[in-house]
Amino acid sequence: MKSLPFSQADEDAWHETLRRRELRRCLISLAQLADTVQFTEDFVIETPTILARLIRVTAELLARGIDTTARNQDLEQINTVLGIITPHLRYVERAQISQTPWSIVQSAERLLKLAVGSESHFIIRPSWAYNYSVIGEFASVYREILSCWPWFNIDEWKEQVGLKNNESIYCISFPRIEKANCLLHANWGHEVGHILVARWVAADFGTVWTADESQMKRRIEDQMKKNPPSVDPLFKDMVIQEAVAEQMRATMEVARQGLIELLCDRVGIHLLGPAALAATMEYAARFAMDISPLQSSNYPPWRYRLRKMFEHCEPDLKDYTGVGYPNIEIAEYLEWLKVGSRLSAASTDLDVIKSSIITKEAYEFVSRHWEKAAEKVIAMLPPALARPYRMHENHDVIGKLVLRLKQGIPPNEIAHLSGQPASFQDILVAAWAYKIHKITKNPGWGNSDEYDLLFRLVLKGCESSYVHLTWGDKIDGEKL
Amino acid sequence: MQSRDNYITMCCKGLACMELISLDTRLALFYYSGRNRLREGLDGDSTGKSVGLYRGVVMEDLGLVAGLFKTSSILESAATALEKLAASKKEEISSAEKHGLSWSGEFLSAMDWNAQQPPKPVAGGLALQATSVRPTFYSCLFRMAPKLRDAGMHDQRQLRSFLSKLYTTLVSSGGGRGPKKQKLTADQSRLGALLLHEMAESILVQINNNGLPQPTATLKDEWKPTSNEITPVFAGR
Repeated sequence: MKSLPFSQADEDAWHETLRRRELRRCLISLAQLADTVQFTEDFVIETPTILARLIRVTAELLARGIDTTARNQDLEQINTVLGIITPHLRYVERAQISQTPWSIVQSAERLLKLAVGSESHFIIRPSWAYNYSVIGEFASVYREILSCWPWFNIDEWKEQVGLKNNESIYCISFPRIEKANCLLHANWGHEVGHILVARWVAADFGTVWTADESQMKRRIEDQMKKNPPSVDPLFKDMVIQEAVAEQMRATMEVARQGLIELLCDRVGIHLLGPAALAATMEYAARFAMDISPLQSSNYPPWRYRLRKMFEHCEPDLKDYTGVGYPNIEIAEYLEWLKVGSRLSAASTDLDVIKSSIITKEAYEFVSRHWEKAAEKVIAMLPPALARPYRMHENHDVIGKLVLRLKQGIPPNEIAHLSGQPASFQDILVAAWAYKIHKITKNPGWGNSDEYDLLFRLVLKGCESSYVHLTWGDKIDGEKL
Repeated sequence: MQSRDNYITMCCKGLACMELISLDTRLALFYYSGRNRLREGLDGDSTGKSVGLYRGVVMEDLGLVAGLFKTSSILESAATALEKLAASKKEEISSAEKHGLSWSGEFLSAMDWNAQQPPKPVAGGLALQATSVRPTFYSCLFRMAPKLRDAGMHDQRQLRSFLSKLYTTLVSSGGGRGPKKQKLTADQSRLGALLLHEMAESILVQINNNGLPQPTATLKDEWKPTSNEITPVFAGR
């Protein structure tokens, strides 16, 4: 049977009817799912329920808009928004107590909030992908998207969501198979760096890019003109311009992503010192060191990243014999780090970067702006975190925590009479020092029982430290 | 090497333990299947939009998605307004659409390297957006080649003249009082609206992939024209 094609108006009407019906159904279903997740799951912290509410309210108001005020031309956009927000519900669902290393979540959140501001909320959840990542910020993105439609009642949405304008929600993910491996969770320092670096990118990257763009464009264009393509006379110059535009965009993306990742590494190592360095080294050791950013979603080569981190850690890699650094408990760890620093002595990553005009231009841009950008990002941290964490300044405390681990005791209080909780950073560095000590003494160390014991002790140490810091004074003042 | 072996051994052991746990989990899921519908199929991260330590997920951030969405939405609204202009329904253009027209004019002028640059310098944010969307602008123009020819454009001079008039009309929110030769005809307005619509649609497809699965990050990279020194974009021409 051969049927006649629709007229344009008929096709539009057919699409509209179907789109409205199906979008309404999906939005209502999403709102119900969000409601179920919000009220039936158990979470360590409140943030997952806030995100669930954000999704529910958004879906409910969009469904109502579909019935009443949404324009035909916006239906495809609403469908795109549905596609964006629906998967966010999985962040809520995976943040249940049973899915997370719950004993570390509160102390980690405390440090994260201290770094980026108490108005930021965090979801910490596992992902099956082997990766650490941060996603967000949800509230402002939803607000920005929904504000595009004049028919959407943004004030009602704000009221129902109940978040203040400066409140924000982020989700930090960790690899599911590393749930208990709190040593590797030192990578969270890098992830929280993304929040600060995003602020720098929003405020400054455009300005520094615009200042350098015309020079970079000229050099890329010169190279392109050496081998011009044959073209349609209608687009004679434009074909070259399109090719240059593609390369300029690629250069900007490589430069932007490169700067972002390097700056996040800087924040991570600033906050957590050699624990962040060790976590990155172990993570990176599984991959190739010198892959071009063009082959790896614009990320810098691992060797380049490690080199920058080692540069920052240099004060910790020296010996200070006058103050007994390194003490015996951390000497093997320090030696392991020094051996690792030889990775950054090779320049094979730089050769890869120089081999393409895109990466060459991008990394020259990175070098030109690195120092100033790093300074600005670190300046965003509050005074309590303004100084970088240094192992050599805390070596006594770390040594005592390592001794506790050796005795099978959670690494919290430095001494039972001191009454002072250990810091999150000291606990993680001590855990790394203990692990490297064990591996140095016996390269075969590390069966599941041995790792399990280490992870449990460290998780318990973090939890005790959090409880101690939060309620220690109150408990101390009461007669038990 | 030792570190790598050690680490991978530890992860494999962890994975083996989880396989055991998952038997219990599966039973629990069966029992609670009504409540836990979401667990089915929503766990993969391959379509997650996040930034992270490494490239295991698609490397877009939500802010970028929001920015692209907004750009697409404004261009679409400007396309609608331009169609109203072509249909002599200027009075029906809303104030939001007028804003969309002038913003689109500034945006296109910043994107097109042949356009006469506006007297005030382009702000950093707009310049970044222009760098991101510029290849889309050129590819939309290339796709419209048959329609441009039908409209009587056969060389670059004619094309530039049309684009220049389009930008002037947009920047003035459709109400320019300049000389008549600087004004768009109704057909040209429709052509301009088509260009804006094509761009809006192309940007939206970058976000939603038109309902199709996203390629994995690695495969996508392999096909990026910039992943090596060849530029496949010319191959079909």
